[in-house]
Amino acid sequence: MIRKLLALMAGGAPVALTELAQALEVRPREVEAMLRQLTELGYLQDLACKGDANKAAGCSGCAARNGCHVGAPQHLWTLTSKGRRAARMKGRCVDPHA
Amino acid sequence: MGKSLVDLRPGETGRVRGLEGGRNLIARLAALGFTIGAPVKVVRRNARGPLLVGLRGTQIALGYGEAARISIGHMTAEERIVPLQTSGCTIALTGQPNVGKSTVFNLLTGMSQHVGNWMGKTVEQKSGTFSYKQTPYTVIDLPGTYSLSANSEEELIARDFILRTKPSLVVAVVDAATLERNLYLVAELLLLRTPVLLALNMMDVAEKERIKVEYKVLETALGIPVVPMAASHGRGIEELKAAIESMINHTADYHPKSPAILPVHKAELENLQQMVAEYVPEVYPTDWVALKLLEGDEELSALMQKRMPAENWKAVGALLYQHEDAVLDIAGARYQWIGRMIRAAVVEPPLSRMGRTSRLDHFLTHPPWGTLALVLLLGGVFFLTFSIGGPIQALLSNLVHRLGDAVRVWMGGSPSWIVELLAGGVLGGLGMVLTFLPILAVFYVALGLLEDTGYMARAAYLTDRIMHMMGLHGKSFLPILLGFGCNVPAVLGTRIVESKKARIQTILLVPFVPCSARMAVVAILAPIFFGSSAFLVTWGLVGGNLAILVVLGLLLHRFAFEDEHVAFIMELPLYHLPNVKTIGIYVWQNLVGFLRKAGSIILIASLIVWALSYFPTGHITTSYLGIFGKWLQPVSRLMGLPWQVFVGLLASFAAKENTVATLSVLYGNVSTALPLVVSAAAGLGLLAFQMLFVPCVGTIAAIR
Repeated sequence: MIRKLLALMAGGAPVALTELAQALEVRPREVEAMLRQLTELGYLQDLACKGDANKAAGCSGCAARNGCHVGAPQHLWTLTSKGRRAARMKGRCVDPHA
Repeated sequence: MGKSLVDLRPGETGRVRGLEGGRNLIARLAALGFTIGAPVKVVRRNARGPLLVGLRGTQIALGYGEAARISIGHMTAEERIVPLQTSGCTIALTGQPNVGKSTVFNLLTGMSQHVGNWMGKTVEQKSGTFSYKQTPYTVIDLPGTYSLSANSEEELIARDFILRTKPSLVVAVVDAATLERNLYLVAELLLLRTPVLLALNMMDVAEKERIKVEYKVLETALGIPVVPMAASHGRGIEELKAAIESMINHTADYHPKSPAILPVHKAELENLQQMVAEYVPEVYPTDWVALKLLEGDEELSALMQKRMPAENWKAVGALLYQHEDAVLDIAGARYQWIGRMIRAAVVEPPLSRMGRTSRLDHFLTHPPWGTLALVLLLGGVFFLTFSIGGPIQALLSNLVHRLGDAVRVWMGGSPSWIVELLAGGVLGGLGMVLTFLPILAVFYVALGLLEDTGYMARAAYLTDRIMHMMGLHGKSFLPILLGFGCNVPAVLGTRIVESKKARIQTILLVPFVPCSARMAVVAILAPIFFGSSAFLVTWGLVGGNLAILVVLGLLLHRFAFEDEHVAFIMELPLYHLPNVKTIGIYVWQNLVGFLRKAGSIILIASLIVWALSYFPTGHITTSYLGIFGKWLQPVSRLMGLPWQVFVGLLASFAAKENTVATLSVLYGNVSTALPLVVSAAAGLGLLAFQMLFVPCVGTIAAIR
């Protein structure tokens, strides 16, 4: 199921977590748990930070720094290079030297 | 020197292995408690700035240079866990954070608790005792963890404690309302040999959400006892004690059905077990170690590498390298197992919040209907802003104008330049800008409402389709979205875009995203020219601005920056009723930000513009600004604007709001003066120019 999730993400078709859950025929909360797990394992990266990372990087002097993130999603997962590599692998037990 | 303290990330711990530097530095560090073997934890740190370090129960701030002199090693499992001296049966309480584990612990142990730290750790260790039917029990509250992988110190402590201390029973506390998230940890616990009992906590929360958890069905599916609880109301604690007793006495029905490894990996797992069996420490089950190695567990890999002859480890390493993504199949099998449990035991009502959200999303994320709803909602935001904020602003504007006249009367005897500085420069510029606070307040309330109900995430989702056409995906999406708040963090945010081409394309497009400061200026100026139709004009301006953004994006993608597709998944939160406090904080933060800007950059700009428009003659037409303005007149005439308005536009380079401040200094009451010198058509041109004008100096600095 997790490999299918990665393959779907690499295909780029579903964008919303709920759509992904429909495609995998599971509940959105299960997908959310899998996405968190894959992030922990380094296959995904969660980009959303409500602007916090950007604030730390260069907005410390800005008066509007607390209100500049309207509409930014709570979570925005994208594949890492490790995730893209795993998504490309069709089967399991791939011999890297083959 | 190997790894030093600066190599640890916040939350990571290590043990001092050595100190480097002059005699004085070493003596000072030792006096602070940095002695060989002392456990340290990095609490907070900046990139190359000072570190806040937890050491011997206190926190110490260290300079980067000093911290780099402290070499660090990681603790072994033996150092981490020292078997506890306990009486009677030992119960380990485990669970994810925020599942009510501490409440269960407090209910079980009451006042008989002991709080300390895990051996050599800054992670809190809580233990306590209770008696049930004359049998004493010791309860250890393990740190909250999401799994038993070696991802954090808490997870290492939890699994090492269970494996090395071998408690009589593990009580896994789970949240009944979010079982999907909680069962992964249970799946891992069942792989260890220690018996597991499930405390199904927060049943009250699940009932409130109208989620029905059939605990008896779950018990059968898992093959372990399940006790429904609502610990925050004290419900289920006696049942838990009784279940603990029957587990300890082996009278409970216990046939755990743990998730099996997929058949495709069975052969490798068996092979691995044979290869490592001889070298696995006695306290660890061999099959568990082999499975964890296959999952890529760094801690156990390091342990086995140390214990195995190099040749044998090389063979293990080669096998693991070939199956480096086996963790996906192992975790995948666990999620399939979780799915089966959930389908068997959890019934969600058809009209849950999730159900309502799906129904609403069916319409609000539908390509044409959702886009229409987005356009109408944005129109509604502008309509509310102008129809509520506009009349209040007009009242305040009159007040400031009268205040200026009063200042001129009261200070009649003072030098005229001082009187004009206060009445025209300060009150005329800054004061007039402040009268627009009501308009901004209504604007931010409307935006806050859309954000807090969960709608803005849908707006982002809808715009993804347009981004897709521009060839912008995934990582470019977030900076563009941030641009609606402020272009500066949006440009800075493009650093997350790995591809150089996509990064440059995103940076080029960000200044075309209408930021809140630009929107504020338009919100202020549009009603002056267009009265009750202002919301329609603003709507068209924003739409036009976005259309230009899309066309430019398409052209850049087509001719300059064609790039690789990067997909992403975004979370669409459940719709919920807005929270007054959350919106209040959001509006407050934005208005305070605006006031700070008004008190600094806008005030300075107002005073400079006033000085240039007053000196040397006291008349604007013969002032420095007047001379400069006449020099600009050929250009401003082409736009149908007086030179004063053109100067106002140029002033927005420092900060967008300066346009309003400058016009107020030069014209006094802009609401009444501007329509007399600028036609509606030229006003529309002015607003369009304002939307598309070069970005503010902050954005340009960020682009550099």
